[in-house]
This record gives sequence, structure tokens and C-alpha cells, in this order.
Amino acid sequence: MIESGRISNVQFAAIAVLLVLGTTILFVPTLTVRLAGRDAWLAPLIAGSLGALSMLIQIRLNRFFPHETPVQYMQTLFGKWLGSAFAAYLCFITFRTFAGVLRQFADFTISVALPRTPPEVILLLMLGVCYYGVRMGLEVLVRVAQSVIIVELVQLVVSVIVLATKDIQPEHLFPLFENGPVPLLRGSLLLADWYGELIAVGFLLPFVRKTRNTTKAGLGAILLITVMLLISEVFTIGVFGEVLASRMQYGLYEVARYVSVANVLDRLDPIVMGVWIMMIFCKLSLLLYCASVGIAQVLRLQDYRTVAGPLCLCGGVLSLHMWSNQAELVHYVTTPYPPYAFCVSYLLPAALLAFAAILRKWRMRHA
Amino acid sequence: MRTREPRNKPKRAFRSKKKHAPPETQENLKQATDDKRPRGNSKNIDPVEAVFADIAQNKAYLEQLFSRSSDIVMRVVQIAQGPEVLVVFVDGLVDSSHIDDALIKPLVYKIGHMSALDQVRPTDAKAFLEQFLAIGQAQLSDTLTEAIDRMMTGDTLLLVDGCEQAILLSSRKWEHRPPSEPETEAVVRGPREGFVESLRTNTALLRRRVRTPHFVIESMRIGRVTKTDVAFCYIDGIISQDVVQEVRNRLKSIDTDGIIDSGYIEEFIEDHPFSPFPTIQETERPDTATGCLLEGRCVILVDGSPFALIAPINLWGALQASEDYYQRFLFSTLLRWLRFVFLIIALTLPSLYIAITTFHQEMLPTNLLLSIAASREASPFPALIEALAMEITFEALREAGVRLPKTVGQAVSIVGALVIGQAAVQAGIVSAPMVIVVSLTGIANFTIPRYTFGLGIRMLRFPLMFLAGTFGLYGIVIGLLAIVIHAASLRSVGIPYMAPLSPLHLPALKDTFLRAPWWSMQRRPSSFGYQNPVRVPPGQEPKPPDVELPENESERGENA
Repeated sequence: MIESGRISNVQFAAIAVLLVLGTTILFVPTLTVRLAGRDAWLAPLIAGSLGALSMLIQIRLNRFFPHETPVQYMQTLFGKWLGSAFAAYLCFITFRTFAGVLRQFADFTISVALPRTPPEVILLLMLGVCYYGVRMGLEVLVRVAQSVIIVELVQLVVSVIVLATKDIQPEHLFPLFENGPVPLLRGSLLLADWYGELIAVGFLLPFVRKTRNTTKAGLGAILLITVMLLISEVFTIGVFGEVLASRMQYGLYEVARYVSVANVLDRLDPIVMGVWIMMIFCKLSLLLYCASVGIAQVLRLQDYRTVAGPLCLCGGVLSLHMWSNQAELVHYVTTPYPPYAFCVSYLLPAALLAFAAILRKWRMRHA
Repeated sequence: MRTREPRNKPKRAFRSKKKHAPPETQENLKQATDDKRPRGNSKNIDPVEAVFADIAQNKAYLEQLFSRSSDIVMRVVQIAQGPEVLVVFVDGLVDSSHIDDALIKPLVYKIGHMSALDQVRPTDAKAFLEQFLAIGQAQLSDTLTEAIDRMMTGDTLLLVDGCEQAILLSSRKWEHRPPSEPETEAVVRGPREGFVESLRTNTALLRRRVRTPHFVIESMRIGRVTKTDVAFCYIDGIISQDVVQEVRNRLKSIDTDGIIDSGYIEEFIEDHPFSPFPTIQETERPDTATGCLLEGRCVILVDGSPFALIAPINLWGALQASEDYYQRFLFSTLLRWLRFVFLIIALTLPSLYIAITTFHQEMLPTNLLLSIAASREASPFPALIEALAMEITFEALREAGVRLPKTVGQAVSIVGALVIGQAAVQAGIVSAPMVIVVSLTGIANFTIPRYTFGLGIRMLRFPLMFLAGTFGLYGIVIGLLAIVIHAASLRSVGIPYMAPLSPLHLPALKDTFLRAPWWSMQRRPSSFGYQNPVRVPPGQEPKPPDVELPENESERGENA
């Protein structure tokens, strides 16, 4: 086995949450508002049910092939060459997500904190920490993730729920379905793409210790993600209203910046930024870990750590050159990406599961 | 007759630069450096190590060995009509009046059963010991090497003419400090005893608190030259056997010439030597050590060191003082939160100051920003340089304060207060907020109860300051992430360092972020791996009595 560490179900839930929320919670709510208007705060519910489906597919696949990563079971399903090709594609998807998250991260840091620092330097620092984390192994990553998620929950409760509830104006949230259900569905599909990043979970499931309760843990993670996204949407729309929110970049960040209590608790946005960088670190390092493990297995290497370093650098370069500026990134994320991501992260695993089930039945009949 | 004089020089003899060194020097060194010679019953004994039957030979050998050691006392006692007896001890390590009273006087005056000596000239040391010696603790030894080893620890060596065994009588007594209040871990409420330099006193301090026969004190001797006694203590039935095995193996595999303080042992057995965080705890308090024993950890005592070692530990233990467990639990919980906040301040306050004044001025409320900007106006340096200079000066002051003689210390603190205080501000070299930041950081560091952990935090402050000076808040977050990753990868004797937070174990959290009352801490902290989980049977929460007692009280009043 390429990884000697094992994780518990709670830890699995924690990393599943961070895999989705890492970038989503600040970045996506306002994008959803652009598509769905004030109905957007219902989008997490619909997208969440799709996410639960995706999670169930992954867990089901893991039941078919316990203790095997997607690379290994694809090779069992499709044979050595075709399976390796599919697996390499899956690794590439994970790697591309890694690069995309890196870019979003760099844009965020530059726009809110360090406007005159070159993105290369910012990325280098983050990639260094990611590489360090990945080198330490899965167990260390999940322990960090566990701490980060606790910090995130505390931060969300204190800086947003407690302090910003008074600023919500209910008239911003209603009426619903002004333009019919179509905008909401479009917004939900956009949000569902981020839930779709859960396909990386396939690389982590084989390392879960007691798989009997994994379904419960996975669905719990989806529930937590949905609730947090719901909070994020409700506060962004409720505080700023549909029009203002759709022009913003980072919804919750702006909410935290808007909060002001007695002229003392002012400007909590740096705290949000700090916690968010930690969440992004978790997402990045988990994606890097999955991609490294996958590629190491495709290439039949003994140790994934040899791949992690080069992948880090390639990801940094790719992230800077795939999109020329932030507007292009936003355009990419909202227009060509959703249908593509839907195919890759929902249809592909579903087809894989169907194929595995048919193959198994066929084999049972002929054996 | 066996000869001892022409002993073969060992092949890889100690290279002495003095060519004319007398042969006994090399004998000494060989004995000191070569600890792996077989010891056992008389059949396997190397002939040069065995005790001679002839007392003159023994005496000649010992005299040659110790010819230049002025503290070795050798005395031949002639028992009237009995054999000659050679008494050897190290002056200063033994109670010489006790030796006179209990050993030499009875031998010379033939008190008690001594008259039996008229009939028999003993060849059996055991019989001699049992019949004629009025001393409680005594042992027999077949080899002179072992006998000399034990003599060096304060036993008295007794050689009887005609016996092929040496008798070792316990007679230790030397000057040592009485248990006094530990200086590094002072408390308001709680015992005032501290460990001392003498190992026996320390084990006694523990034994007085843990009176069960399951409390094990394994003793071993580490160090080829110093032969330091080390006691490995744990409570059998509570501690996990894996931990015992692991620590014992690590202790046994230490091979060095000398152990002077428990710090030496710590560096040999810790899990991560290059980490800024300690993975083994040290304590001067027997009550802390006892508490750890009851939680299923082991304690290592080293002769000559008042600091006991405790393993395994976790990160959160660094924020717990022994007093937490003696005070009322509500306040202890509050104190723990306070320490947690100040831990973060100690680690990040200077870097936060740098980041905010350099990159994120908008974070501050306007009035505060204006006053900081006004006081920084006079200062000629960027915040990073200013902070580095002040923090390094402060570290230097701390170091000087520890090292200087007490009479001079006061002068240093006055001068120091001027240097990093008012004068520096008035001269316009540093800004006043910087002075506040440095002092607050210093105070925050002193709130960390575990000293070595505080050292780690003191070190990590500086890289964080550089990161803050170059990348602002982003740099601080990246630095903190690296620290968290590092801490999450640490293990202390195989136990994850961040447990019970991550890996998460909810019940154990009630003794990390809270200090739950004793009656509710029903189980031992699970992260250390114990055998016997139940600590406090449930249902012991105290309550006021159900029945009111006013009538009784008034009756009592009348009767009186």
C-alpha cells in the first residue's frame, strides 16, 4: 500500500468538508447570485442533494473495491492500458482542480491583502507549506484539517452568525421564484460543480479505518457543507441584497468587513482571510495528495512523495498561465466549466459505478 | 596462585598522551570504559575480576587501584582470634559513625555471636554476613568490579579473609539539599515539596504519594564513566505495556560516557530531536509526577538532577499547571483559556504588530491608527527592524537576568528597564507601542506553565516576525500553518502530540480546554493509552442534603 496511515470516519468527514468548502464558501455564493438572483440562497439545498448523490456513488464504488484507489480499480475494470489511461485522466482532473484552486487563492490574496506582491511569490510560499504537509503523510494532513475545521466553525459562528445577524434584512431574501424556477436551477448546477470536486474523495476512502459507518460520515459531511453554504448565501444576500451581492467577489468576506459592533468589533475581515487561507491550504494539500498518489500508482512508483514536489511546481505554473486574469477565470468558471464539470464529476463516476455493477453481475453469472 | 599484575593491555587501549602514565591509570580506565564484561556466578567469572580468598592480595589490588584516590578509606580490622577483615568505603558518601558503631566496634570487641568465631574461621561470606553483621541492607558480590561499582554509590565493602565473596553493606549518607519549594513551578495552593538531587529522596517522595505495590521503580545504570542511577517509574496495571516497553528499550540503548542531568536522557530518548517543541516533559514537582503516573504515563528520575522526565506528553499539557487541579475547577478552566489566549499572543503579537503597521493599517480603528502613527512618526526604522531589535534586546535581558549573580541582577533590571523603556522611546529610537508589544509578549511567555515549551514559542516568534515583515498577515498564517503541520506530525513515545484535539477524542477534551471537576472525570485521558480506564466511579457529585436541619440546630442551641 502506498500510504501506511489510516483515518477515522470523523476525520474522513472533516476532509470531505474541507475538500468542498475550501474555496466555495467565500467565492461561489456571489457567483450563484449572479445566475439565480435572490433565490440563490436555496441553491445549496438542491446542489447539496446532488452532492450527496456524488458522495454515495464514491462510497458505493469503494464498497465494490475496498482498499483500492480509483487508479487501481480502473485498472481492474478496464485492463492495464485502458484503465491506466482513464486513471491518468482522473489524476489530471484532480491536478487541474488543484491548479484552479491555486489561482483562485492567489487572486484572493492579491486583491484583499497584498496588492503589489507578485503572485509567483505568494504561490511559492503556499506551495512550500503544501509540499511540507503532503510529505508528512495523510494522517498529519487530516489532523491539521480537523483543527482547521474547528477554527472555521468558531470563526463562522463568532464573526458572522453572532455579529451579523442583526444586519440581515428579511426583505432582501423574499419573494422567491420571481422569475420562475429556471434561474435557481442554473445557480444550483453551478454550485453543484463544487460539490463535484468530491470525486477526489475516491483516493481517500481506501484509507478509512472502519468503513461500516462511512456512509453516515459522508452524508454528515454533505449536510455540514450544505448548512455552511446556506449560511454563507443567506448572510451575503440578506445583508447586501441581490444587486450588491452579485457585484461582489467574496461574499462572506464582505459581510465580515461590514460587521461593526460598538465601534470596537470592527473590520473582522483579516480574521476571515486568515481562516480562509488555512481552509484553502487544506483543500490544496488534499488535492495535491490525491493527485500525487494517483500519478504514483499509474506510474507504479513506490512512494508518492517523489511526485508531489514536481506536481507542486507544475501546478503553480499552470495556475498562472491557464487564465490571463481574474475576469477570465470568473468567465471560465461560470460559462464553459459547469457542463464539463457536471460530466466529469457526476456522469463519469455514475457510469463507472454502473459498469462495475454490470461487470460484477456478468461475472457472477458466468463464474 | 593467580597473578594479577601482568594484565594484558586491551587491544584498543585508551590512548593516553602521557607515555609514562602508571599502569593503574589504564586499569582504572579499562574498568570505567568496559562495562560489558560478563558477570555471574563464580564459574563464569574472569579470573582477574574474582574476589581473592587471600585478603592481602585483595588489599594489594585495591591499594594499587586507588593509590591516587584520596577519598577511599581502607582499614584492616583484626578480629581477636578470628580472621582479618578489610573495610573499604568512600569517605563522604558513607555514614562513618554508623560504620564504627555497627561494624567495627562489634568486630573488634567480639560482641554478640562473635565468640563463635573462636571455633570456626569462616570461608562462607554469606554465613559470616548472617551471623556476625548487624546491618539491615547487605549484599554479596562475586567480583571485585561489581563490588567497587557499588562501593562508589556509598556502600561499604567488606572483605573477609578466606572468603571468595565480597560483602557490601548499605551505609549511604551524604550531604544533600532537603526538599524545598520548586522554583520553576511555584504554586499558590498545593504542596511545596520539590525533587532534589538525590535519587533515593526523589523515589521516596513519589512512594510517599503512591503507596500501592503496583507502583514500579525499575532501576538501571546509565553512563560508562559516571554510572548514573536512573529510576524508571510507572504504575503497573494503568500504563500501557507498549509505552513501558518502548521507553525501557530507549533507556537501555543509551550508550554514553556520562549522564549529568536528566536533560542528557531527554535528548537520547525523545522522538523528534530537531523539533522546537519538547516531546518529553520535565518537572520539579513530585505531585505533578504523581498525577502523570495516575494518568498512565511514566516518570524517569535521574540521580543528580532535580528534574524528573515524563513521557508521553501532548501539546495541551503545556498549558496546564499542577495548581489547576487543586484550585476550584471553574477558575482553573478560566485560567486555561487565559493561558491559551496568551500562548497565541506570545507567539504572534510582535508579528501581528509588524504586519498591521506595515501592510494592513486599515484593520485598526481610526483613532487607534492615528495614535500609533503619531508615535511611530519619530522612529527611524521600519517596524520589522524595530521589533527585531527590541525582541532581541529583551531576550538578552532575560538571559542576563538568569546568568548574573543575584547582587548584580538588580542593577541589570534597572538598566534594562531603561534601555527597552522610557529612554528608548524618548530618544526616538523605538516607538512606544513597540515597547508595549515587547513587554506584553514577555509577560505572555511567562504564563506558559511548562518552561521548555515556552522556549520553543520564544524561538518560533522570530521566523514569524520575518514572515510578517515580508508577507503581512498572509505570511503569519502560512507560518502558523507550518507550525500546526509540524505539531500534528509529532509523536511522543508513539502518542500523537495534538491528541485529543486531533485525532479528536471528545471525552478527553474535558481535561484540555476545560478542567472538569474531579467527580466528573470518570475516565483516564484516553490518548495516553491506559489499561484501566475507570478513575472515578460515577454518581459522586456533591449536593446539599435533602433534609433541612433547622430544628436540630435550635435543639442543639437549647441543650448547650
